[in-house]
Amino acid sequence: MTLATRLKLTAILCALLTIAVCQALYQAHSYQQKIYKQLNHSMQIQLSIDSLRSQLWLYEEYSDQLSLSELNNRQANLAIQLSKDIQWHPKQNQVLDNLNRLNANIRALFNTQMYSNSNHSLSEDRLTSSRLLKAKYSMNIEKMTEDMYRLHKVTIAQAKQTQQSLLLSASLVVLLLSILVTMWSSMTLIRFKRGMKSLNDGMRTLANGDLESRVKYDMNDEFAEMSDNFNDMKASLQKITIKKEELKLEVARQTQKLQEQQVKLTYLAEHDELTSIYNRRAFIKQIDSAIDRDSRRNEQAALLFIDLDKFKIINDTLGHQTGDEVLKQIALRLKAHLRSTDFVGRFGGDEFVIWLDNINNEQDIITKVKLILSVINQTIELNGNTLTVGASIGVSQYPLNGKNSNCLVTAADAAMYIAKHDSTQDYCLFQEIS
Amino acid sequence: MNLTLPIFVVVLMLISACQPNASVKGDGQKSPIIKIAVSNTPLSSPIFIADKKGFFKQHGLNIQLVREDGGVKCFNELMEGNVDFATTSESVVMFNSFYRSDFIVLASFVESDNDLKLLSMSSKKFNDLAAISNAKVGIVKSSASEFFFDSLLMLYHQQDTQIERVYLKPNQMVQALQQGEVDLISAWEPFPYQLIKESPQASQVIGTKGLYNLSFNIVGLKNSSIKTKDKQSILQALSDAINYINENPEDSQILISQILNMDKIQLSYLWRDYAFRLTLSNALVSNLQLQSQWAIDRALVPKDNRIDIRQILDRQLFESAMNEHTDEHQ
Repeated sequence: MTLATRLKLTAILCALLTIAVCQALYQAHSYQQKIYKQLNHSMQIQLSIDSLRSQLWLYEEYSDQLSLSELNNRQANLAIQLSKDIQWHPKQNQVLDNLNRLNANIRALFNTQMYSNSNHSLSEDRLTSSRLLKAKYSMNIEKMTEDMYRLHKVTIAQAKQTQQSLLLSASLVVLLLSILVTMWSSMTLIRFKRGMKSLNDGMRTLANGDLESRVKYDMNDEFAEMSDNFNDMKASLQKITIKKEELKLEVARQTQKLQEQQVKLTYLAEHDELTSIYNRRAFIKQIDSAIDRDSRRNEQAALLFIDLDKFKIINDTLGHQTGDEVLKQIALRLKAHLRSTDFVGRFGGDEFVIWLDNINNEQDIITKVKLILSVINQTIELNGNTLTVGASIGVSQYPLNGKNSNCLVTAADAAMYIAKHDSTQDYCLFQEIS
Repeated sequence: MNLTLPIFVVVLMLISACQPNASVKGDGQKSPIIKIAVSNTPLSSPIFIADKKGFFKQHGLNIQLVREDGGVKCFNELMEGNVDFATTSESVVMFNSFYRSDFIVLASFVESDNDLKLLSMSSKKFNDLAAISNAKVGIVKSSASEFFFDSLLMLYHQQDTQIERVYLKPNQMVQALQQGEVDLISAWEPFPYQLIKESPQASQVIGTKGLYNLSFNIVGLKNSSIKTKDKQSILQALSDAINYINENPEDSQILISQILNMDKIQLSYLWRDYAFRLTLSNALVSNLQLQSQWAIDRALVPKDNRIDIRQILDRQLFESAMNEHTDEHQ
């Protein structure tokens, strides 16, 4: 049941209570009116009886037609009073019937006197007509008095009983309704407090950052609806929060990918695509930094410019693929026979360059050049062909032949050119030219 | 909102719960037997009803009814000590008051204002009391019959009218009138009813309702072994029976017609003139005084034996019983 319905019912119960109280008050009022009316009327009857009694006394005194007709009037008046319907109770009606009967008896008695004009004298020691009449009147009046007493008693008893039962029933109804209203209101209050508490608790947990828990409310009222809405709101909030987290992770993933790609691109930019050794630009850059370092440390170095012999024949006869494979093999061999501080690069075509760092002795340079030549000269097995390539090497020295990369490369290139065209030697030192 | 019925039920239950337990009082079998001589007339209805409806038992009494024909016999049974109480009319009380004062009237429980009637066989001939001069009137000597007739003459100022009184026994009256032995009869019920039933042409000379009041009373002995408490209880039971009669007149009549083996129509005819109420008032004193004076005037009783009527009415008992009863009901 919803709180609105409960409140509506409370209002209806209160209205019922009000109606019951009004009804009880109205009943008490109307009953009291009835009692007052009855008591008032019984007083009227009493007055009529008294008036009849006094008239009887007058009649006894005068016994004439005047007093007889007045008696007749009084008697008729009493008859009228007795016949009025004042919502008498059956018990009261019985008494009234008796009174009526007695009144009729009195009428019967003075009817016997209607035709008598004579005024008989009263004799004390004999029973006479007047004495008989007087006694009979007295008897009837006496009985009437008794009946009036009974009427009063019955009326009062009746009033007492009815008022008591009225009071009891009204009290019972009002009490029951009051208890009902109180209990019902208390129940509504408890429900309201419970609903408020569960919602409050739910909000507090949400404020503390708990998105998992849900408000539990098992009643079927407005709070249930509010709880459901609150839970839905929490669920939506939870969903949104999860998406944000996922987005963060994705961004990190993508960033990493980009970084990886950047590394790859940098590598690709600095290395020769075919042989995976430094390309011209990267090699020059490396020389520059080596020169900087050597200049600071006051160290010497050598640059070797290598141009392969007979490579053009292989390329032309066995195809570019085989030529590429040969270049790869040569690059691998060169790389394998260098120190960690030395590095090799490809300048394009069949031209390779090597930087020998921290090498002072010319003899050491020549030894190294000879080693490299022997390595290049070794046969290459490719698709069942045994191939041999040779090389011409030009050497320039730092700082002897130049203090920058450009000078050194140009010097080495020039030296290589000499070696190439001198069939007696495979290598040439730039120094020897000058 | 119809709560009236449930509330009424609850209230009834509460009220009934508050009532004194009747069974506690009603242990009648252990009480001594009290005998009441009852006249076989509807006037004794309160006694019969109290017996049949258990009002005596409710008041802790063990009553045995001794049924007799007429109040005189009932009174005689009381005097002979055969019963503890008797029901009888005020005339019997009045006559006996001249000869003994060892009895006492406890209460009067019914009155009829039309029990005696003056009847003739011809409504044309006797249509007025003035017309009865020289007529032969059947009367039961020294009884309500004679008192009633004398009262009538007095009230109508016809005391000096010449009439011939023919004294008859009660059960001879109807036949005497029918056979023309008398012109009129002054008779009490059920003879008038019987006459009109047998001879529809018979009728009352004049309407006499209200001119003579017959009362039926319960009478006991002054020096009896019956406890005051029991006497009070008898009066209270009679009061309850009278309340029952007044509240259930139809049921009461059916019950009485069965008890007396009386025609229901006849009973209803008589019932109209009855006023059931338990009293012991000055009205009874006046009535007895009137009849005493009449009896003395007629020389039916020894004048010197006249007693104060108040000596044979136990007002103290009656009032204490009624007060107690009122308290009980409240």
